[in-house]
Parts: sequence; structure tokens; C-alpha cells
Amino acid sequence: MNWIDWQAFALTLKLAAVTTAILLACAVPLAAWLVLSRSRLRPVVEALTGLPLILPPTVLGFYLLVLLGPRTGIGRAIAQVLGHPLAFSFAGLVVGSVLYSLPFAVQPLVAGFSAVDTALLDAARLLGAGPVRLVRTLLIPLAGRSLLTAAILSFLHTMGEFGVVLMLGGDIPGSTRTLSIVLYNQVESFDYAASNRTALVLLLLCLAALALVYARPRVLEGRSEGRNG
Amino acid sequence: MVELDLRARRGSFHLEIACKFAAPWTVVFGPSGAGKSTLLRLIAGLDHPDSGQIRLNGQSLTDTGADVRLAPGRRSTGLAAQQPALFPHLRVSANIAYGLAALHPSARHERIAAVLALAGASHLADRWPRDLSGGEAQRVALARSLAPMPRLLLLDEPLSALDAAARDQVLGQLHTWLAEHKIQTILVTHDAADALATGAEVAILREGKLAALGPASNVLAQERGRLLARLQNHP
Repeated sequence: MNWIDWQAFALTLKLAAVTTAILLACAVPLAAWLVLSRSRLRPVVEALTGLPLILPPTVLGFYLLVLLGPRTGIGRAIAQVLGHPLAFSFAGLVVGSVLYSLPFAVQPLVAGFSAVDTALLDAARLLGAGPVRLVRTLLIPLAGRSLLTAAILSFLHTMGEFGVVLMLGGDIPGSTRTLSIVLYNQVESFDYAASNRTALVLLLLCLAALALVYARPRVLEGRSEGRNG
Repeated sequence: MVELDLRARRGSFHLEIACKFAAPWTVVFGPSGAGKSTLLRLIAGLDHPDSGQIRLNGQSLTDTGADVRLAPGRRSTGLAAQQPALFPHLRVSANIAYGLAALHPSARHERIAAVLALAGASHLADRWPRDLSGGEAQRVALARSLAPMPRLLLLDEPLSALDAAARDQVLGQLHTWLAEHKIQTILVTHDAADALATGAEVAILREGKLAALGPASNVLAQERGRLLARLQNHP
């Protein structure tokens, strides 16, 4: 007998890692735009980004299931390209996870980027920096701490998601069955010994990752500017 | 030459200026809250006026009527302010190199050495900003603003943390160097001595309006007369 469902364990880590990588690639430019832009669209984009925080995961999962299913043009087009529908596949889970965990990546970055002194941004602009250079040379180096926080929170949040996974991915071993689904199945079948082990693994992983957030090296923090005198 | 015709409202403060700064070195002098720093930020493109135009040597930098708003980095304008705003994660030399990305590395090193020497900060090249005193940081910030060789240099009390003797020395050297390189300069100060020391054209700003503009001796004499008259009227 397996101590835990190693296949689900590996799939959960893979889903969390892929989702985190995609999220960071999307969230850095999005957070930078939210901080630097004066566009009137900013509050709308901010609200849409934060929506998964309060939206029931099953609602998000349901809409994605409908959108990515064979009844919509998008769903049919994706199915044609991939050769299979996005719903009930690992790729579909990744799409759902990215949307579901988006605020957990964007919000720490927005907080970190906003904390960078605007005088530094003004100085860089005067020296010829455009938005991309501002992000690359100032925001990311000075808000490295928030980048780490965003990565860890995204990873953890994806690992623990349940509603979106169940609605969008179902329960297909090796493809969409994550540890949360395994735990649910174990509880449903009254296998409390196995449930305890699965829950303990999830608990320890989350605890270790959170400890990493709080123990992050100070070198990632922005250095404070010179002393007076 | 800098041509201004600006109107900008910031809360209850209203800046309204129409003038030409034609001299190579203009000192904008006035009490705190007169709008001096706001004026420099508008010229630099860091803020935008509600309406009006800014032209530098005939080129339109801002023109609200024609929807022209040149980005700060495309105005060929340098700004050194009281707050040095050095990039804390870059050493002094890298701070100065920030605006020199287009230069060949050898030319970049030469330029960094030249502007650091001018600011009296050659010995600081390898230091981190956190290890600098306030005065040292201001010298480095001044050098950084000069490095890209802007057409217009805006100085907002850039050496306020230095003692008077050191400030006069740097300003004196800077004055000569800027004249050699034909870089027009607008220096903001609330210290009349700065205006007299450089023998420049002086503009007096009061409550967001231009109160006087002309040669330093004339404008400051006029200002002295005004202050004396006020003293006599309010013993």
C-alpha cells in the first residue's frame, strides 16, 4: 500500500509549479501596469484581477467549464488545435489555476512595486527609462521580496485548490486528480488513516513554504538610501 | 532658450507663468511654496500643466493644445533635486551609467569619471548609496543628472546638504563647465546668495506668479526695496 497517492502528489506539484511560472510571467507586467499606469481602465482591471478572491471557486470553475467546453466557439477552436477539449485535461486545470490564483500573484507585486519610491522612478524616467526598463532595472530588483511572496502564495494556493479542479478537471487519475481531490475521496470512503496522511502532507508543505516567506533573506529587500549628514 | 506659457492648479495652489528664460544660467528665487519645484517638474515632464506650452530651443516639449507631451527621457533635460533619489541597489558609478546606455563602454567610463570629478565625487565611484552622507549623495545625484549631457539642466536646491564654502566651489566649477558645454541651466533656490554668487539672470516667483525677471543685480535690488518698504509700512 502506498503511504500517499504519489501520482496525485507529483501531479499537484507539477500543476502548482507550471501555474506559478505562468502566473509570474503574467503578473509582473500586469502589476507594473497597475502601479505605473494612469489609465481610466485601471480600477476595472484591478477589480477583475481581484475577483477570484471573493468568487466561489465552483462559480469560476463552472464558467470555465462552459467557456472551454464544446458548446462555445472558443472551446471548439481550442479542441481543434489541441486535438481534445481543454476541460477535463491537465492544460485545462492550468488555465483554471492561473485565473483562480491570479490575485495571489498580482497583489503582493502591486504592494511591492507601489512601495518603491516614486522619486527613483522619476529619476530613471529622466535618464531615459521606458516602462520595460523601469520594471527590469528598478521595480523587480527593489521589490524582490514581493516577487518571492507572490511565487510562494501562488504555489500554495494552487496546491490547495479544490472547487475549480473538481468542476473543470473532474477526477481523472494522472491527469486531473490532485491531492485535494484524493483527500476528498478518502474522506468520502471513510478511510481516515489515508486522509490523515494526505492532509498532513498538504499541511507540512504549506507550513514549510510559508516559513520560507517569513524567513526570506534580507538581501532581497530594497536597500535603504544613504544616511544624513 | 526656454519659453513657458503655463497654467497648473494643484489643490488651492495655482501656478500661472508666461516668460522666456533666455540666459545660459537663470536662478529662480522665491519663498517656500511659491511654485519653484512645481515649475521644474513641469519643464522636466514629470508633471503636466492643465494648459499651456513649454518650448526648449524652439522644440515643443509640452503643448496641451496640440496634445504634445514629450516623455521626460526624450526632453534632453536633466534634473538634480534636493532629494538625491539614488538607486539604492546600484553603486555610484552604476547610478551615473544609468543614463548612458547608448554610449560605448569606454566613452561611458570617461563620462562617468568626468562628471564625478566635476561634482568633487571621484573617490565615491565604488561606494553604495547607503554609505554616502547627504552631501555626498547630492554630489553624486548632480553628476548623474549631468552625465547624459542634457540641453537643459534643472537644479532644485541640489547642494543644500553642503556647507556654503563647498557649495560655492561646486557651483563655481559647474557654472564654467556648463558654459563650456552650452548647457542651459535653471537653478531653483530660496537663498539670495546663490543668485548673487553666480551673477545670473534671476526670476522671482511668488504665489505661483512671476514677480520679476532680469539681471541679478537689478532684480535683487528691486526685491530689497520691496522688503524695506514692507518693513517701513509694518514697523
